[in-house]
Amino acid sequence: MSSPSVDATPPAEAQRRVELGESLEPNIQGRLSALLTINTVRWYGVPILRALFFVGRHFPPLSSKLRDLSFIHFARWTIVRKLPGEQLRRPHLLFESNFNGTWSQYIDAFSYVTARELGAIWRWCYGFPGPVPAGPFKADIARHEYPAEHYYAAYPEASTTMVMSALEVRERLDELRSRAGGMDAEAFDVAWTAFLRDTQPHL
Amino acid sequence: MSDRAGQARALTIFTPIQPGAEPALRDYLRDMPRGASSPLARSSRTHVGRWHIIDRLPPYEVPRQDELRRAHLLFSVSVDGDERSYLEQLTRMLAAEIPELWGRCEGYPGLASSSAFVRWLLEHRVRTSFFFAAYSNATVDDVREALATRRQALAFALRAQDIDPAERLAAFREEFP
Repeated sequence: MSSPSVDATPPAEAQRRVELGESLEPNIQGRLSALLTINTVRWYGVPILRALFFVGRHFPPLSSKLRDLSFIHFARWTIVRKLPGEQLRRPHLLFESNFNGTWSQYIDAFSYVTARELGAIWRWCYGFPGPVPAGPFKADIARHEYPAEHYYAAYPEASTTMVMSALEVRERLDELRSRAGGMDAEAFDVAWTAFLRDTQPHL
Repeated sequence: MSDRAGQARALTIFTPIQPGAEPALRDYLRDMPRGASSPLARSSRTHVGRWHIIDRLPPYEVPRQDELRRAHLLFSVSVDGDERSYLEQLTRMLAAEIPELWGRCEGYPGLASSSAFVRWLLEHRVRTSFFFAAYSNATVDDVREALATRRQALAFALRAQDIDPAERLAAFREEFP
């Protein structure tokens, strides 16, 4: 899939990120980080990507993998064919992610846990080195990354796992609360012990 | 296209920046208050949101790469519920900021008619191909309440360890009526 290199030099800002393995400050809000990359897609990659995303929406292996990673709050891929006032000859693939953890940890996990899925998506883009090993993949992301000028997160103190756990705790607590009104102390003791046992991993 | 996951919606809007306006727009974006003071915090429907300035397309290993004629302002948010009503709400809530942001973009229709402004934004929308939301049926309010409930439940569990069952039941009913 490789093409002759036209310009392989990443901007200084991206180079710094590769060296430090850290997120740039405007991209961070509490525990959350913002990532945006744009890659150029080979013309024949667009129908394949569309088919992959269609399959991913209806038979959700991609969503399951992203959920398994447990540190992505929201993510999206967007195929850009047109921009106002521009005459684009090539399709471009925009990837956006909102995740908790450092940039370097994120790319490492992304690279190894979802290697097959990522490979299936980005292999249709120019210059994609493959998801593993993580080093060249990180360099590729840094070259294609656009720092946010302003980033906002509504609950920046919470990791994805914390949010999922909190939703689980709330559901179980609501259920216990609705039953507690009709319980005596002995029955509540049993129910409370069961609640603690079931929610312990989430507390 | 897939701009939705559960009740969550993805919104991606590209608007071309007026020639010469990019440095001032960049400064304005970087100087905007952040965190709970961010303009995007005014809507309780915004999970995450950001502005980027896209001034080039990456040239690496792409023969005859497209060259942008102008820079573009990219606005991207993940929100609760339908996009139009979200943008209508945002238009009311960001009346002071909008002229400084999209007012520096070509074709900006002004705020005299908020529906014309929302229509203009939606005309510049790029549809999402694949959208992932880890907890797609939880609104921002759901998430905030759940996080508070989890803290409350943990504190109660620690406190309730050393009290007898009758006292624990009474304390539970008081804590979680």
